[in-house]
Amino acid sequence: MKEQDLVAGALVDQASMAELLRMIEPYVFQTAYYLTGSKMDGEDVAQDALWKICRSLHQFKGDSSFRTWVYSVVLNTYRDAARKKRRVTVPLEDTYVDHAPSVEETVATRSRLDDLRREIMKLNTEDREIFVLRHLQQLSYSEVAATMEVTEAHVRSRLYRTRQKLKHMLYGGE
Amino acid sequence: MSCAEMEFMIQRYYDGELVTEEESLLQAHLHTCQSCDQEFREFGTLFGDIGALRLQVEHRDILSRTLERLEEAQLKRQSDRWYRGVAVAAAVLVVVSTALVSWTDSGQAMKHRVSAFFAQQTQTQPLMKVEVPPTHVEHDPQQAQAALENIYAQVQFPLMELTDPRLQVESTSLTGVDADQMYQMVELEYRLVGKQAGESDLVHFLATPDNSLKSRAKSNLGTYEFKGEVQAGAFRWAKVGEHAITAEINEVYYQLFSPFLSTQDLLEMAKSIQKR
Ligand SMILES: [Zn+2]
Repeated sequence: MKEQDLVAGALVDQASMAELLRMIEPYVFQTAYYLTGSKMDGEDVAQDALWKICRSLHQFKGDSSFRTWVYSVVLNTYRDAARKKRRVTVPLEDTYVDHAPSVEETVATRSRLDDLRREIMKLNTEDREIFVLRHLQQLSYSEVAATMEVTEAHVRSRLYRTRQKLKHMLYGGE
Repeated sequence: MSCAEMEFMIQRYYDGELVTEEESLLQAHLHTCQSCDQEFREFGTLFGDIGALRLQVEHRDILSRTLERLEEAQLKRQSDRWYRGVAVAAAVLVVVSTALVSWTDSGQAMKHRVSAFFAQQTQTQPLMKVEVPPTHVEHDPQQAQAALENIYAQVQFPLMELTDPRLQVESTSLTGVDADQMYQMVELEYRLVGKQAGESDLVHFLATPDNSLKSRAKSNLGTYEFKGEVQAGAFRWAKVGEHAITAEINEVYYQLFSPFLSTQDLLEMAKSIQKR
């Protein structure tokens, strides 16, 4: 079904709204989870974002993609939450990156993945957002750029630098 | 081609972006250059690990909570007097069969149909895009002023405004522009002028006739805990949490919130609330 029809349907009919929310919920949660690095914070951000999405669905303009619009709502919700939380929580370096290890992870790769997760949480907000959207949500470079309202060249240059840094810190020989 | 240029090519390789010629160029270089070959393998590990980071995480049922909230807001909207006051003449009472969807803990969807009476608008024509003056502005005081005017023109409930001279509106939004589709909510963000720069200078102002937000423990404005009522100006405000106050005025719920200001500071600002 076309995005446009889905959204129009959801605005007039509650069952369609439920369908639409059910469809996007996994993406909303996962993104919030990766951005916050914590399940609980991820759930809070996801819940706020989902509510914002259904409250402001009518503001979605057909000129951007629905997917991009949803991600931008999640990012904004995350940024608000991070801003409000800054003063009352411990600095990011000390936060515990909790996650549920998958069964596929062997013990050896698990510690390497833990290091990687920790480094991702240490990235600045913009670089982390780019990393999450591109790699963990698998958006294209142009979709990341549209979501964040920056140029594609900017996204590329930031992400190239981030990966260079991660590689150097975690896998670099020298 | 230099080794520095090769690095970008290596990253683009793992992004799956290289065309055939570029790929052979890269392969040729890797055969002759040991350091780039090592780079190539290290990036390979990194990209492999990045792929392994994606996982399904069990989490609490966010969806049902949102649907419940939607249901409540809708029911509330339909039974509220304020709403009936603004409802257009075409409104009729109809029987609607609505599908309620609930989710089990395992995330499996289970549907059951429920019949219910709703006072509902008849949808005489399909949803159309209507051009409305912009009401959404982020961090732009000049545009925000104009957007605020648009909000006053479009909002369908009696909106009070803060007139404290220290407050300068810089972000605005109106949700539910079409009040027939969704209840309305106005969210404004003020900068506290005259204070030295810092994080403490933003004040959030929210107004909505949707009273599910009054008692809701958690909204996007934080977690609330009732801490008694205080007179501020013409109205009584309730302290909720350390940094938020709320009041019901003419059946509209107002919240004032600032992450870093005390309720005392907020009450000072609340004194200036008045009808435009
Ligand atoms: Zn080389």
